[in-house]
Amino acid sequence: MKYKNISDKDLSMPGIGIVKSGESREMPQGFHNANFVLVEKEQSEEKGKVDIKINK
Amino acid sequence: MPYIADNSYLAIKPETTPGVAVIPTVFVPLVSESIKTVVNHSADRRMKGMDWKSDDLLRGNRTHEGDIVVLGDPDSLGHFLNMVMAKGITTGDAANGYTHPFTVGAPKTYTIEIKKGLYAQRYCGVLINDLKLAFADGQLEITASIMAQAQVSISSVGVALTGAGMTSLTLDDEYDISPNRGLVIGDVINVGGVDLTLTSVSTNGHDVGFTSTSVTASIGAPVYLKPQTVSLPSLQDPLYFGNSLVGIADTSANADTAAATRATATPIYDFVMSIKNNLYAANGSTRMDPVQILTRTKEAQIEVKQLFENVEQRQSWMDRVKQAITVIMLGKFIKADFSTQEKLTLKLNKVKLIDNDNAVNVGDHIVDDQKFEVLYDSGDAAAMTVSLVNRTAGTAY
Repeated sequence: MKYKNISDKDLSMPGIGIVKSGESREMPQGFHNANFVLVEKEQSEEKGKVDIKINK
Repeated sequence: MPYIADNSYLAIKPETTPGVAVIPTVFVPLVSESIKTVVNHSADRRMKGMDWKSDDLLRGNRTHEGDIVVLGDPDSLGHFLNMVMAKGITTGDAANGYTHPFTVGAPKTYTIEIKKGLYAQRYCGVLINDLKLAFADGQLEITASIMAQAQVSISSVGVALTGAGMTSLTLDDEYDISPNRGLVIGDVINVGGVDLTLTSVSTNGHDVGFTSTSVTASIGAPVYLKPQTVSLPSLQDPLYFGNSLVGIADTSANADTAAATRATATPIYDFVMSIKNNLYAANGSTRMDPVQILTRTKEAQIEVKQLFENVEQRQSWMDRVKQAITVIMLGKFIKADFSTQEKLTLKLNKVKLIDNDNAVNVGDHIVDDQKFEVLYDSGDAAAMTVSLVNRTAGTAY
């Protein structure tokens, strides 16, 4: 899943690297940090949603 | 699975409403902590025809208190000053550095969170009772003795979750009458091995909501607050004793002048300062936790060591002579042309010596081992003020 750094600072994250303010990046499973918001779910999940719509 | 403490974190954030938790977003590298919830469980001593002390425990009034130890980098330091003093209007900008003035007054409450292996331990309504600034290995170390209004960490399922389509969880009230206090929309809790992101926290005190999820958990199953992934902004060095200047004089203005240059500053060989809020955190009706935490009379003490060179300080102690102290701790330069730099200024308008010891130990120089009480100066209309220059905008505090 892709998350965006919504803080006004570049943030260093152990095991992930430095994520600049405003930057979106794919994060590992289980990621949870209140300086970030989810901007894009995994492609497989998105595909699943599309399939359901088609079946309807 | 064992958990190593080095993976822990301290995260903090000022609260908009005192005692109402927010999700902490400022991660401060932690040296150690000893905060605990004193639950005051006590043996049920009612006589029941037994020849054994008790067959159960009863709940008691709670407190949440302990120490946090962190290094005093200028950006983190601002938050700890904000928890013990009143911040005024910040001036400056990112290029030149921000200047934050602090005066004696009402501090802000914080929500703090500490990762404890699998779960996050969160306290809300946090204030500092005693802020100690000292140097360890020449690095500024902050020891904050805190008190909190409430905690959230681990709770229990109150009503079973039965599989597909679950949208809410009722927390059990065995620990607390308001078990969802301290949880915030956006938090992630784990129940039955499933992570749930909270979309609501009910005002009924025990329900939380989340998007429709398949989760199964029986009554009494553990629920825990999931720790965050650590995120750190550019971390500055702590302020160093070696880059500190101390002015000691008869008036505050003269102490400022003395502290302004290395040539006029007084060398000292030890420094400890304690700023106390003497918090009131009584239990009462409405909550099992402290109903509210209030500041009472403020006070401060400062301890320094100077080489003994004359009898002036001993005389000042015996005659209770007024002195003033200005301490300036300098950090890294902020502006590219080296015209502004990180700076903590502690201005103590009126101090008098409580102790001035001249111990004689073989092989050692004799020192003035001093402990000052920080007093209110009627002429300056202040006891102490603090100014901090750093890279953090005032809105963060």
